[in-house]
Amino acid sequence: MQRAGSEESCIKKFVRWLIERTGASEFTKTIIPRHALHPMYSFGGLASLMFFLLAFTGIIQLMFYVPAFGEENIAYESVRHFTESVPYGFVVRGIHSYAATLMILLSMLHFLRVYFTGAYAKPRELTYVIGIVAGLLSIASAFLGYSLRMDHISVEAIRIGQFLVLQLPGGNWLYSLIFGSGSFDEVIPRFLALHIGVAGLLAIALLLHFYMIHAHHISPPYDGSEPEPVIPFYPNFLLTELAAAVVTIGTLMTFSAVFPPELGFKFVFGEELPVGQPEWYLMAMYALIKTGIDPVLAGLVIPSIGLLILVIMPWVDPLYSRHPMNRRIATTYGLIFVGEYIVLFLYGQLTPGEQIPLLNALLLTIAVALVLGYVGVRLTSKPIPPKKIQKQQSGNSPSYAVRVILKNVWWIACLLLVFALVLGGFGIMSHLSENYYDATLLFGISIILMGWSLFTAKVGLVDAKYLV
Amino acid sequence: MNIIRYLLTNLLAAVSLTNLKSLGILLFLVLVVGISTIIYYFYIKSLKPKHNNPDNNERVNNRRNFLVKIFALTLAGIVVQLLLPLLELLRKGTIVTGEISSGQETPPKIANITEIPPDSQISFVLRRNPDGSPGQHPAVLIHLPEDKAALVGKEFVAYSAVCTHLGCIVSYKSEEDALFCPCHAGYFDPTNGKAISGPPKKPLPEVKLRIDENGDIYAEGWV
Repeated sequence: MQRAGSEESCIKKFVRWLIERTGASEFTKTIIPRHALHPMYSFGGLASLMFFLLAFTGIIQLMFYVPAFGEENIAYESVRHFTESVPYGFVVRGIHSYAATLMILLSMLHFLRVYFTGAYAKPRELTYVIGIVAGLLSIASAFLGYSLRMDHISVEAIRIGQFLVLQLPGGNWLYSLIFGSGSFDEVIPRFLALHIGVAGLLAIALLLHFYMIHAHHISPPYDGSEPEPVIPFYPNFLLTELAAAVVTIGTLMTFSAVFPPELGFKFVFGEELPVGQPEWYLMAMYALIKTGIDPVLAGLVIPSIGLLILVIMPWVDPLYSRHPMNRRIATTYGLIFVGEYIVLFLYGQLTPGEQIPLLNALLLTIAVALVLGYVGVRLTSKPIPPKKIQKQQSGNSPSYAVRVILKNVWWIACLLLVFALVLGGFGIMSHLSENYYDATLLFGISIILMGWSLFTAKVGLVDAKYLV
Repeated sequence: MNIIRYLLTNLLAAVSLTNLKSLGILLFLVLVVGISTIIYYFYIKSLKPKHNNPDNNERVNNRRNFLVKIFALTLAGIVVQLLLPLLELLRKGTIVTGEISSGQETPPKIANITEIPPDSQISFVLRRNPDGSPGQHPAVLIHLPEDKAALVGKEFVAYSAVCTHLGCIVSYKSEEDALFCPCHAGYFDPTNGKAISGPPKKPLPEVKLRIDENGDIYAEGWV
C-alpha cells in the first residue's frame, strides 16, 4: 500500500509540474457549465478529433501513395495495393475516408447548433466566421482527397473541377495555375500537394477557432438563463473526452473492418465507365448544375450567396435574445437554407445520370422556400421571455441507479476490461496468423469496450463526489 | 476461435450478400451512438455541482487503488492494440511501381480502317488540348453509317470526347445515331459535332484525320 501511494504521489507531482510549466494551469481551474455537457455541444470536439485521426492516417498513407498516372494509372494501383495487400492498409484508409465524411457531417451539425442557438452573438462573431471558413476548407480538402483515388468517380470530379475553373473569368490563367497542363500526370501530384496544403490551412483555421473559444469562453445558455457550473474541466471532463475518443476510434476500426472503404472502377483512357456520383456534401450543388443553368452560376454564385448571408448573419440578426424563436430572420433563413440543401441533395441522389428539368427544380425550391418560410415565421411569432430561474429537478432523480452503479463501479470496469482483454487476445491470435480483417474487428470491439472501461473507472475515480 | 470466426463470416456474408450494406451501417451506428448517448444522458443528468456527496466518496474510496490499476491497464491495452497494427503495417507494407510515361508525344496512329466496322467508334488520346497546350485529351473516332457518310462525304470523323457542358466523356451510340454524354444526357451530331439536345451548347472540337495508303488512320491535330 505504502509503495503504491508514494508512486502515485510521484506521478501526481510530475503532472502538476507539467501543467504548471506548460502554462496550462488555467485549464485546471475551468469549470464546465451544465448546458455545455449536452450531447449537441460535443459535435465540434468530435469533428476536431476526426481532424487528428485524418492527419495521422494521412501521414501513413503518404508513405504508400504513388502520385503518378504513368502508362497504367499507377495512383489507382497504389491505392488498391494499399487497401488489399498492405497489412492493415484497409483500416487506415477506411478510417481516413470515414473520418473525412464524419468530420464534414459533424461540422455541419456543429454549425447548426451554433447557428440556431445564436452562439455567434457578440463577442463571438469572428469565431463563427472562422468556423465557416474551416468548414469550407475541409470540404475543399475532402474534394481534393477523393480525387486522388483516380477511379471513375475521381476522374469525373477532376473533369468537372477543371471545367468549372475554365468557365470563370480568367479561367485559362487560373487553369494552368491549378492544373498545369491538365494531364493526369500533372494533376495528381498537384492535387496531393494541395490536399495536404489545404489541410494545413485548415489546421491553422482550427487553431484560431480554438484560441478564440478559449479567449471568449463557451457561450452561455441560449434561453437566457444563468450558466450553472457543474464539473471541472481537468480531470473530469478531459477524461470523458478521452473515453469518447477511444470509443470513436474503436468504432471506426470496427466499421472499416466490416465495411472496407470503397474503391471505384479503375480509370483507363478509352474505356467506358459508369457515371460516378459526387460525394453527398457536394450533391446539392451538383443537382443545381444538373438543371442545365450556367455551371458557374449553379456551382459557385448561388452557393456563395447562400453562404454569404449565413456569414453576415451575426451582424444582421437583432440580438436582444438568442432564443431561436425570438430571431425571425435568422431562424427563417436557416430553415430555408437547410431545407433547400436537403431537398436538392435528395433530388440529385435520386436522379443519377439524368438531367433535372429546370422548371421542376424551380418549382420545388420555391415550394420548399415558401413552406419553410411560413413555418419559420409562425415559429417566431410569439416572443419567448428569458428564463430566469433554473428549473429545479427534484422528484425523479436517478439517484438509486447511480448509487447502485457507484457501489459496483469497480467490477463493472473490471468486467468490461476482462471482456476487452479476451477479445484483444483473440485479436492478437488472428494478428499472429496474419488474419488482418478478423484482427481489426476484434481489436476494434475490444477498444470500444476499453473506452467504456476507461469511462467507468473515471466515474468511480474522479466523478463520485459530483454524483447525486 | 473457430466458432467466432464461423459466426462472424456468416454474419458478414449475410450483411454483404443480401445487399443490406446501408442497413447494416445504419444498425451499427444506431447501436453504438444510441447506447453511448443514452448512457451519457443519464450520466450528465445525475451530476450535481458542489454536491460533494460524502457517501459516494466512501462507496468508491476503498476501491480507489484497484480502479487506478484498471485505468492504467486499460490505457496500456488500448496503446498495444493500436500499436500492433501500426507497426505491422509499417514493417511489412510494400509499394507498387510501374511505368511512368516519358512525356514524349505518342505516334498519332489510331487504328486501321479494317479494325472499325461502320456505325461504331474507337477511343484514343491526343497529346494536345484543343487550345494547343500539352495534355491528355480523350477523343473519339467514329466510322459513320453509310447514309450519313454519303451525306457528309467522308467515312471517318473524330471529335474531342470531352462534353462541352461539364467535361464528362461522350461516346457514340449507334442506336441513337448520336454522340451521347451520360452525365446529363447531352446529345451531339456525329456528322459535325454540334450539340443537338440536352444542356451542352457548344460543339465538340473536331480532330483532323489523315488516312494513308495502308488504311492506317492518324490524328493530325485539331481542325
